[in-house]
Amino acid sequence: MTPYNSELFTSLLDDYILNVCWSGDGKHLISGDSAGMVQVFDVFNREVVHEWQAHDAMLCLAVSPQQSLVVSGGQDGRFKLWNLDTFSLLADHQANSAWVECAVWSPNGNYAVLGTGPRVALIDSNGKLIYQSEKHESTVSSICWHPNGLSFATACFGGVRIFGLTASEPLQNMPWKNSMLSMSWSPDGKFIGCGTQDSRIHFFPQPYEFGQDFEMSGYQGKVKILEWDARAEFLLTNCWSDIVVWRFAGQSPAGQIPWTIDEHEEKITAIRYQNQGSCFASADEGGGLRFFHAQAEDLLCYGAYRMRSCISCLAWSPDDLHLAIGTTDGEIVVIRAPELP
Amino acid sequence: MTTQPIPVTVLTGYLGSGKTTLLNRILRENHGQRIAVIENEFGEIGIDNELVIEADEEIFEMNNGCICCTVRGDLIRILGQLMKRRDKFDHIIIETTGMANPAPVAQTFWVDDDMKEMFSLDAIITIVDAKHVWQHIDDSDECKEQIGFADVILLNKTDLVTENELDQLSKRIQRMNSQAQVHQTENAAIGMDKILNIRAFDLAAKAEINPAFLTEELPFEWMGVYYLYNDDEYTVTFDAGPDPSMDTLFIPLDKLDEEQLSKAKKKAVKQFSEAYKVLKSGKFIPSTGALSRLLIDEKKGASFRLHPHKTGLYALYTQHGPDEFNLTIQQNNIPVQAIQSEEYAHGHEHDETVESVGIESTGALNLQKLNQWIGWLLSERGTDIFRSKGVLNIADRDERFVFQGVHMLFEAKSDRNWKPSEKRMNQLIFIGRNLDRQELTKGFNACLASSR
Repeated sequence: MTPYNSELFTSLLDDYILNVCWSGDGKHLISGDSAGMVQVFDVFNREVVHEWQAHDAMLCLAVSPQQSLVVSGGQDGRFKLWNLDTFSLLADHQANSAWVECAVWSPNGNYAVLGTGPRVALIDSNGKLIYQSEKHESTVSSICWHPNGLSFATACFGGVRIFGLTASEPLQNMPWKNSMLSMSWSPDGKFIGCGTQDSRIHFFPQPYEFGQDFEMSGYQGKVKILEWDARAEFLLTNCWSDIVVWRFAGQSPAGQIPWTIDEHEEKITAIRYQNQGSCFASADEGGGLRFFHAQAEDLLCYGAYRMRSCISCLAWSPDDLHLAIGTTDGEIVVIRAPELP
Repeated sequence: MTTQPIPVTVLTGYLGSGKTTLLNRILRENHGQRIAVIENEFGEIGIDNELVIEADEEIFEMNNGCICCTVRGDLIRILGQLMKRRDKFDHIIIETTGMANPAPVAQTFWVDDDMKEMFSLDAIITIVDAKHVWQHIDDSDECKEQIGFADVILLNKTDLVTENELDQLSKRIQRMNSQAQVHQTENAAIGMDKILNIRAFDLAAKAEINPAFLTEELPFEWMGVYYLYNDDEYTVTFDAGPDPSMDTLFIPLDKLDEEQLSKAKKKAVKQFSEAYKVLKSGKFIPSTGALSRLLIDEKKGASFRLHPHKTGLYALYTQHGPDEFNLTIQQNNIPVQAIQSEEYAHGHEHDETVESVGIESTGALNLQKLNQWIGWLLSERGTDIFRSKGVLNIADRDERFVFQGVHMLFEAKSDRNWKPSEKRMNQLIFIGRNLDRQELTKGFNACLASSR
């Protein structure tokens, strides 16, 4: 495949890029690295607008979808909220744990949830701590929001819990005796899927009824990526160097044989669907990047790109025209996405 | 993405044994390495440029008694986060405070693909408080398991005990875990080369078994040589003793010398793992080298008859010491004295539920039978077998075959070629709880290529 080359922007840092996020207006790109540095780039003028040290060692960074806010968590046990317009620190909280490992904004950007060891902390967009949850059975490994933004799910060893916006006790417990490593809530709100330690995906249909959960197995390794398309028709998952696609369309995929995409040569590290479109990009450990279009029964690989090292994160611009890529070696590249033939 | 795996040391020890002192020594030592310490509980031992990380305790579920599938999610997550840092670590130490059994941590580095790629398990180190360990070594499963799992055992606080106490403790620990390197320390002072980067789990580097255990652990506790006449009948009498039975074996000897005794001892070891005949009081004990299990009444004791099949020397091997049952052999009510006797170390003392069982033999093994047996053994007895290790002689193979296991997980591979000057031997060691030496030996013997 001919490599697609439309580099718009390149920045070379030193450290593992944890996340790259676009500002709501699509003009700025915000990156966070493991050394705790946050950088804000003006992508189209190719310059660093601002940078600051958020933590000595950072573990998570998330930008609110609509508002100019960034939340970060680190190995210092703190989580912080920054205003991207003024670059001012709005809130700085000390968690009751050594590490703050996950940060996820609600779809409307009004709330952020932080994983603080075995608890989660819910803050509003002013940085006010709404509550800190009760202790989970183990450290919270993943958090995801219901698409309506009124509740969120937490995963840890022992199952999944659902929390609301006011009470620190869970609204629902969905037990499953395994280590949940990754989690995603389908955009139609009907399924919560979790990648487990023993290389399966465990699904909790919503609303949950005890005993109605089910599993999909056959994976060669742990499923760390669960990426839904906007219509909740397809769920993309990693299976070593393959992408395994489950078709949902509102129903359980139980009994179906999934598609397997084997365009990558190395272990898949990131998959990102476009915000609105039906295309997605996938990345691998060797720096390989592919663009796919999936619709009905057709799947087309329509572009390729290569970074110099393992790709750690991907982010589509709000208009789906550009893709930001971060690597484990600290490189950030923004490319104009190839057009569908 | 191939980089050198980072060695991981698992550190265990009872509360107050000196783990924190040892950790601080490791962190302060001028070894030029960046070391990360992962603890179950947050400790106040952070040192400049070093790291002490909190790991939340996670429950391990037993799936049909198997812990293979449910590995330490927290640990994997933390190590994954650590690997993102620019300032990578040269060594990881995982302190398993509050966990009786370090196996789930150790197994993580065997079963998890990501972990296998990034880390290599270096060793399990157990630190023992030489002064206070006596308070819990008999009753605490946690204490026993920590000793049983160790590659290296530090007998710490030796300045607080007498030489005699230390000697007793060393012997006891060696019986429980014959394969561990035992070091005596004060204030946990020890050279870093004794505890870090020792590659105890690297089959390529460490495919040796400490042969010391083989002389110490026998399925019998006593041997006596008698001269017996064919035309006489003897009475073998036992008083009531600590057990309701006694395994006993007479082996005829051609003459009384080292070579004959050595041959007889090997034969006895083999026979003790073979089938035995149960004999009630009043029955004849065979003199031809067959194992008997003599039933001894708990109140009255028992008396058996012996009619030697030929006149000459006999070696009598007994499961327990003769003193425990006041064993006597009489001819016409006249006691017959042993010409020579030998006591063996009590490798299977009743109070030690954690012990080492070693097997040594010279025959070549059938690989298929061996695989089946090891697979069966570790799946059936894996929860009780903490560690296993073997250097084996496989039929029609020029290479040594080495294996090691932690509970029911094991890895095996062909090693270097046998050297021409080297005697081809099978050496196996099992360390664990409630091990049945006879069952293990019998199972192993059935894997010999010569066995049917």
